[in-house]
Amino acid sequence: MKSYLPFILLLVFTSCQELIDAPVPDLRWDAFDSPNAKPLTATERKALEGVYSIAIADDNFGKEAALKWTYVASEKDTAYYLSFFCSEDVRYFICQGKRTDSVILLNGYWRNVENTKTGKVHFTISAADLSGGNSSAAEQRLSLQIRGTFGVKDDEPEKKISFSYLRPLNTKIPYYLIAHRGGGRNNDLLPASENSVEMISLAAQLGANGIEIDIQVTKDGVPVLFHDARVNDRLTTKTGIQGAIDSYTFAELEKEVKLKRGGKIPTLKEALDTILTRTPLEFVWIDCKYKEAIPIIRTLQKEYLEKAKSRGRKLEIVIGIPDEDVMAAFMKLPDYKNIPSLCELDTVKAQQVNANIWAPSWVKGHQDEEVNAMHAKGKLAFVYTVDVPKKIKEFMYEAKFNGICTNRPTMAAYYYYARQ
Amino acid sequence: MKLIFCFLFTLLFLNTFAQDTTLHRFKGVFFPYPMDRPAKFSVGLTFTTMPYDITEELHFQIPALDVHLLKRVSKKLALDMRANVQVVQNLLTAGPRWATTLNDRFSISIGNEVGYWFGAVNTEGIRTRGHGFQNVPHLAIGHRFNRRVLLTFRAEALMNFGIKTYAKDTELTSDYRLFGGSTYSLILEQPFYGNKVLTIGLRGIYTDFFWQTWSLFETFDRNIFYPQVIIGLNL
Repeated sequence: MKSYLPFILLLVFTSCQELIDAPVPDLRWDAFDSPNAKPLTATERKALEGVYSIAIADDNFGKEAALKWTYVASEKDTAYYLSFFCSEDVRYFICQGKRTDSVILLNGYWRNVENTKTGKVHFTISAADLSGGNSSAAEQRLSLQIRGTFGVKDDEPEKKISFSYLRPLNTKIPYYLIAHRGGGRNNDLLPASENSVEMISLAAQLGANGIEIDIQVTKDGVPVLFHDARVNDRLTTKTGIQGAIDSYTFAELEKEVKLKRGGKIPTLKEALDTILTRTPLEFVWIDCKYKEAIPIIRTLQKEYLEKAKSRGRKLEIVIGIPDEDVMAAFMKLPDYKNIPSLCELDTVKAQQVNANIWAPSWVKGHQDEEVNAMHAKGKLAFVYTVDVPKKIKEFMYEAKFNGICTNRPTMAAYYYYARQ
Repeated sequence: MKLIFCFLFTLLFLNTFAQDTTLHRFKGVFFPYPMDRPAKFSVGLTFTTMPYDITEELHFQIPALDVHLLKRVSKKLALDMRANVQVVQNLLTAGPRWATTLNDRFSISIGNEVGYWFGAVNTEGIRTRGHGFQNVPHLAIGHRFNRRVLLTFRAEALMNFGIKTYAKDTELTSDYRLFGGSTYSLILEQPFYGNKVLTIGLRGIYTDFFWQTWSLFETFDRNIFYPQVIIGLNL
């Protein structure tokens, strides 16, 4: 037995890291799944949006939460989600709503994205409270309370929590809340893979109104969403395929490769189609990791900007310029100064390509002077990639940027929508 | 990485049958045993694999020079001093260690080390710097094999405090848990050439903050696994 001890320890030692995850709990709830429960009307949904105080909480969700509806559309119907962006601890809730004759039901889950804490939530709202009876709309909303329970993982929700309406959401000054990698990274343990169609569909529920996506190109010239230059264990399940992504055709990748947290590697075209037709997202930052992809990215950018325009849909798509190589390739495009772009290099280079947006790294600080200079030329300035909660607040409240790219969009959404 | 582990564990397994002399007795700096000499000194390397959670596609190992001195205070009490040096970032620790034998084969030690780490690197063209403190209480159990090959299991609690990181003079982040995680090591110390003793160890570090990753400014509030290989020569 003594002889086998090292090997047993080896097994324990090397297998521990696979255990960490934060799966979405089982969301079955009899009352919510009952045939008597009907979808909420647009008026009922709208009435629930706002900033609420968290009146009772047996945990650390903070003092306030901003509640906002989003949707995911499909060919058959549209699913609506109410997100709660909490003021503390990077916590959020994502719920769906239904109503019975007397009560509104919200069913979903909560998560702290910085760790693995998650659980079910069940909320109820008196339908009379929401309809308001004889009181005015303003009076009715001020008395609105959302009461419910939350649990841990798949345990039935038992801890009480309630929300009291305070004020409407702030939307006075537009701000770009850009979720990194299509919504979040694999190591954030979200229920979708980074840079996947599923993650893009989730991004708005996480508070984003725009996304950043990473583009690589396959052997046969298809631009795909993939961050790393190589197929690897970080992004994909083990299928035997390893190596540079441009050594495989898209058909090979589609057939053989599964993304680590579900889904397939999407083409840029699929991603843009999803954004346009299924989500309320209004901004796309295409981060080009492969300079040869610039011409095909431009073709798709043009195609989807035209499609958005023809549908009356507000959608900006910018080509990201992260380095000098991509900048050189970008400047070879005809009429490049009129192509919507975002430049991560210095302000001189941003002006050289006539970038609509200048986007420096957060470690460089507020850079008020440079931001003001861009504003003076009618350009925007974003900061990337800010994940420390107190820094998100600082950059959003104290700096002069017009947008923020983050892996913590729920936190940025709280700071934006709750701002007074 | 797993292949390296397999290789090292095979080596560990085979080395339990190695030859030695009385000169090697209890010379290892990790083995918990009362001090039978004024000092024990080891120099070596640690190799820490940075997990995908932290480094993403850049999956690499960071080597660090590992200098370890155990200075006798009394028979059972020693001052344990250690330096992990990577030039751009370094960790210095020191603290008391008390050790005693349980029987002819087993011995234990308890101790506490206080550490200070500091570093400075250029990140995206910006000079960034960081420093912080660690407090590391630890417990070790040692088993002496028939031929005086020394095997140590050591557990440590990691407490991080006073972490400050800066870009130029702007403070970037300082919020991490005090009780940051724990480490578990299995360390073999066995005769090598001459009167030297070879150390081969595996250390599993589970923490929300590992000092060698300060420049990545990660914000996870969950423990991440960092496997570390320790190789040293007790002089």
